[in-house]
This record gives sequence, C-alpha cells and structure tokens, in this order.
Amino acid sequence: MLLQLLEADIRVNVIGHSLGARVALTALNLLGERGAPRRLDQLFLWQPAVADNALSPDTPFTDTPPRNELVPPDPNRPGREVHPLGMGTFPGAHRAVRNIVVLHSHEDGILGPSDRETPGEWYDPRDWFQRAGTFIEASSDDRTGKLGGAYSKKWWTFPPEIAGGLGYFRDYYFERGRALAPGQWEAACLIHLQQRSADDASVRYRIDRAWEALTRAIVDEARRVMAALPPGPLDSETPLPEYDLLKPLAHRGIISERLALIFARQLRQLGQRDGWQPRDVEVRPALGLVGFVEVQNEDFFRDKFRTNQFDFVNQTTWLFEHSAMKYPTEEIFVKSYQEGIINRIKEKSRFGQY
Amino acid sequence: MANIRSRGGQLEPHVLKSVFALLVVMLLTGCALGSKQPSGTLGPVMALGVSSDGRYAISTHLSKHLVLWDIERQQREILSTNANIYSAYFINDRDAFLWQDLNDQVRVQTIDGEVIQQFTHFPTYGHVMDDSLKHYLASTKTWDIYHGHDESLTPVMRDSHSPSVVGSGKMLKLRLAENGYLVSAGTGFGEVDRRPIDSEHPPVRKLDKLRFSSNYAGVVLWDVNTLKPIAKLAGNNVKVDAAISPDGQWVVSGDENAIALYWNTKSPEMNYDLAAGVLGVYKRNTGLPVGDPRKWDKSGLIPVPMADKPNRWGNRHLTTDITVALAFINDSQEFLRFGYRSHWVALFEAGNPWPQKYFDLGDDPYPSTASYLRSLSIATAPKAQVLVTGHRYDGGITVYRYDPEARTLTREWVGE
Repeated sequence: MLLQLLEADIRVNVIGHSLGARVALTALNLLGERGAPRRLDQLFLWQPAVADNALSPDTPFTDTPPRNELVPPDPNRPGREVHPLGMGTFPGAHRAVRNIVVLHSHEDGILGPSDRETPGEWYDPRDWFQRAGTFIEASSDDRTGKLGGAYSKKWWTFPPEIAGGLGYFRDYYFERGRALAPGQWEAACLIHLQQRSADDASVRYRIDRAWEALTRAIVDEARRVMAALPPGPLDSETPLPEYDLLKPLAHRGIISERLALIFARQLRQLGQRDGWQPRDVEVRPALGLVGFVEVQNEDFFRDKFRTNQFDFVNQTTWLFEHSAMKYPTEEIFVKSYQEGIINRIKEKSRFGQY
Repeated sequence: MANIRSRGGQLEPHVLKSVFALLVVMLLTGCALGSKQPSGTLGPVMALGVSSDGRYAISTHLSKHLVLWDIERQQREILSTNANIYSAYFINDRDAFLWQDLNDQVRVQTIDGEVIQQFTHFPTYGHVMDDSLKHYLASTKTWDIYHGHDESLTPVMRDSHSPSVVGSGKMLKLRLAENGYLVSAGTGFGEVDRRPIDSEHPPVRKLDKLRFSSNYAGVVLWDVNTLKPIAKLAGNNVKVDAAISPDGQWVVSGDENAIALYWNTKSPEMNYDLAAGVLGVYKRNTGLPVGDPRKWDKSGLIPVPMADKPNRWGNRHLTTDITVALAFINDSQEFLRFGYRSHWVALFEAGNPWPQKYFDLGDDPYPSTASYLRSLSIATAPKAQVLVTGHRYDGGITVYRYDPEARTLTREWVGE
C-alpha cells in the first residue's frame, strides 16, 4: 500500500504506536533495503515497543564488533541483542523516510519503569496502605510501571504464559527440523527437555547432524529466494517473497546467503547451546526510554542540541501513560497538534505570521 | 497553648491529664504526627521567596497552604490554607511578601501579619513587586505579563494566546533587579527569539490581533520604568530558566537542551556560553564537522563529581547540564546552576564561563529540582548568601548558607 501511494506521488506520513512501530519499521526497512521510488515524509514512533538500537546498523547479523564496545562490555549493561529471533533492528528503515520522530514518556509504565513524580505520596506510614490500594486499583500500565515495565520482560520464557514469543519459534523449528531430518531431530527435542544425558556421544552426533541439515536448508532457502527476486527496486505489483525457515528475517529486504548463514549459526547457538533461553544480560531499553539525559555528554548529540538541530522536549506532561493518546485531553489534541506541530511549522516558514 | 498555665506557672492537674491523653493519641496515631499541623499536611512547595536578610522564607504549596518560615528560630507558621499555589514571593529589602488567595485577592503582607496593600487580580502564575511597592508585575496562565492592577492594569507582554506546547509544565519566570530591570524566561525558540523588537513584532497586540505563538516567550530583558523590552536574549532552546544579578548587570540562563548562556546587560546583543560540566565551552563557527571534540574548549574545566558505581547505562556523572533553575547566591558576584533531577549544583562567577565548584545539596531530603513547574520553589537571598529549596517528595524546605570566603555551602535547617 505504501508503494502504491508513493508511486502515485502522494506524500505519506506514518504514525505507529507501541508494537505498531515494528509494523511501520518492517515496511520501511523493506523499502529502504530494496529501494523505493520516493521517501516517506515523516515517521512518528509513538512510545515504540522496539529497542533503542532499532534504527541502527547494530544488527545481530554481523561479524563486526558494535561501536563503542570494542572493550569488553560491562555485564551489568544491556548489550546488543544477539539472538536471531528478535526482529529488533531495521538498519535500512531510515533510508525510506525523511524524518523520524520518537515520542517517549517517563510515565510510560509498559516500556519501562514509570518515573512519575508522586507528590501525593508524602512520607507518612499511614499512606502506605492507601498506596498499596492505589497500586491494586491502578490501570495495568501503572502497575507494570512499578514493576519495571512489561517491555523489559520481552524475552522472558518463564513463567510460560509470558514465554509466548520464543516458545513459538522453538516449536516451529522442531517441527521443521523433524521434517528435514527424520529420526534425528527428536533427540535435540529430548535434550532440550533435559530428559536424556547430553554426554551421550551418539545423541550429540545426531543433534549435530540435525542442526547441520537445518543450516543447509536455511542457506538453500536464501539462495532460492534470492534467485527468484526480480531485479531493480521494489514495486507495488510484485509480491514480497514467502519465507519458511527464514521467517524471522522477513523484515529484511534482501537475505544474502551470508546473512542466512549467520542467522542459522546464531539460531543453533540459541537452541543447542542456550536451550532457547536468550543469554542477553539485560534487554536493551525501549527506543526513547533513556532519553537525552544519558547521552548528553556525547559530542555528537551535544553538538546537535547546541546548534538547535535536535530539540529535547520532555513529553511527560502529555503522555502520562503508554496509551495516553486514547484520552482526548487538551494537551494532546490542541496543544501538541496545533501549537507543537502546526504553529512551529508556521513559525519556521513565516507563513501566516501576520 | 497560651491558657494552660496557672498564675503560679505550674500546670493544673486536669491539664496534665489532657497532655497525657494527647501523648497517648500521638503514640497511637503513629510517628508521622510531627508532619501534621492543625491545617493539614503540607504538599510540595510550588513557589518560594526568601527575605533579603535571609531570616524568613514564604512558601505556597500544592496543598494550597501559605507558610511563613522563621529560618533563624527554625519555626514555621501556616498563614493560610487557601493560597494560589504559585503566589509566594518575598519583596526585596522589605519585611513583606506577596501572595494571592483563591478568591483572587493579592496581598502585600508583612511578616507580622499587617496587610499593606490588597487588591483583586486575575489568578497569577508568578508575580513580582519592587521595594518601592510601585511596580507590580504578574503573569497569566498563558504567559502574558501585566503591570499594575485594577484601573492601572497595563499589558507589558501580550502578543499571543499561549506559550506553546513545549512550554507546558513550566512557569514563566519573572525576576527583578534593583535597577528596575526585569528578566522573563519561558521557552527558547531560535527563529522566533532572533526576531527584532520593532513595530512588526510588538510585545503587546490588541486582543483580536494576537499571534498563534509569542515572539517574547524566550529570555527577554525589560525595563519596568518604561514597561518596554530592552533586548531579546536569544540562544536558548525549549524550557528555559534565567536569573538576573541583583545589580542588574548580568543575566544567566540554562535550559532543557543543556544550553546555558550569559549576557552583560550593558551590551545585551552579545551572549556567551557557560561551560558544560564535562564538555567545556562550545566554540562557535569552527567549521569542524558535527561531533568533533575540538569544538569544545576544556581549558578551564574542573573535575565533575562522579558516582562510585555507574548506573545501568554506564553513566557515573552526578551532575547534568540540563538546567531547571539558576539563582544568584553571592550578591551579583556568584550564582548557582541547578541540574534537572539532580541534587548537585554548580557554582559560577558572573561573567566567567567556567564552573568554580560543585556542591551536593543532599538527597535526603531531595531538593525540588525534578520539575520545571516547580522551578519557583528554589530561591535565594543573594546578599545574605542563603539558599532555600523545596523538597522533591514532601512539603518541607531546606535552608543552605553559602560562605564566599571558604566557598562552602552548608545545610542549616530542614524545615518540615
């Protein structure tokens, strides 16, 4: 649809909220990596449920070390998301749009710990009961905020109710592995369930063969899709390729054999070595969560702020929870639209000044 | 408590019983009674003023209390429970303060309770008065500034409907100097702040000709004798706070985008950067590419305080250049820069870009640096070298005294 609009010379602006950011960034990444007739005008990521490196080339599918992490990373700090199923980085997305605006609020209790100033909670032990009551009665957003936000638990595989994401992939690859290497893949499955000894050499041999078969199939699929890919930029007439084993890379415009091989290697590491439990020390924070405060002493950012190319505006007043745009307040609908956007455009263009 | 003693000075038995009963009640109701007053629990301070001699502070609270604090005797008195939360202001060189009640009555009231002046006024969002009591200036909710009251009400700045959305959650700061200069600070916006003061961009427009956003919402220097702008002090971005030295010679500013500037009001067309704590002074027009470290002069920097352990993003800095307030602490010689959500402050000398020292205000209680809406809850008596801040989480105040010889800032009293 985006391509149809762009081909018709229609200017396009996209707004994505929460997980909608993944939808929008997937589309833009495909356009960015495959080439599009024109760029979109604006992409607004409204409290996006993507990691803070989502727009960077800091993809897990590279062999080069991440920037600024040439020294061993601090184990207490969130690192690059290294497991292959995250679908978390969209390195070509920025090429498909002129401007990206990220809105985040410290009071967003879904994407991180809410940081609300609570002048009502004056220090009085008798208030604690009331506070406990408020916590129970609060919207789920506020509750998760006090517990550090739901987003930071996105790779939790325990308890099983929250483990949906990785559990789905694990089952999917077991099923596909079983089809590709009959009689061998069950062993890996059993190992995963800790029901047989991993020291058994014959079991390990069968598991290795099963993973090798899966790796070959993944690379073959990449080669096949690549061969069928029409040359030139993406157009609205040509359907996007269908993926099977490469589904977790469907947000990528072009999947080279090399990319597929790195993906397979990391998938194997995740399944065989790590038992489908991502080893990241901590999930990277949501895009916008850390804010300007933590990067203020970086030369690059500071230069942009000093020369007014970047504006840092605290959004807390208007975005008082994860889905605050559902509530029609004056701040959001009058102030942010009319005064924050339209009036600023008018001031810069000097249109309507008199 | 005045009548409980008998003529001989001994407590009557029935009074003793009452006192005992009261003690039992206090024990049963928990340890928080100390923070309770007959008129209720104090909410956080929203606006605060300190008398020029540093003896008294006046505060208005989110809970609508008006409280007079006797700093010398370390006592407090709740004067009203019906106060405009932004209205506390101590008049320079007077034993009188300004406040407004929620029936819109503005009072000039002495510390002894005498009301010198009283008038009906629009609900004020920050107001100031000079020591002659002739010049009274107040801001409206939408950051218009008016001089006088009743029949003499005169608009000083009224060119738009609103301060713009990026100013939401901030007060228009008004500060007077002894020479009749007034500085106002709301939100900086380069394109707009650089426009000239002329007939095309008048500070006051007719009510049916208001613009959609103000040309005067940034840092502006005014003369209260002419009620005209002297200069627009451009260069800041987004929410900006500013202070003017008591003698009117210096204006200093700091903002949400970590830009901090200063001006000598004798030549207000020239502005200068205050050093960023870690990066130094920004060198303008170097032609160097974005992010080039050579764009920052670090020659006069002093070490910034660092935490023992980094936070989860690997940051150990305790100070920030994101500024929530500035205030002169040593007459017109030195001022403090308060970082947003930080309990560390930087000491600067007027006319000197380099930070001189960092002081820890302490985090228990945490000073009220975590809200732009509460930047008026940080106030100083520059001649008495006294700083008073509200608390981030409760309704108390903390009093600090600066020693310019030793360059120390000492916490003197936590009033709760």
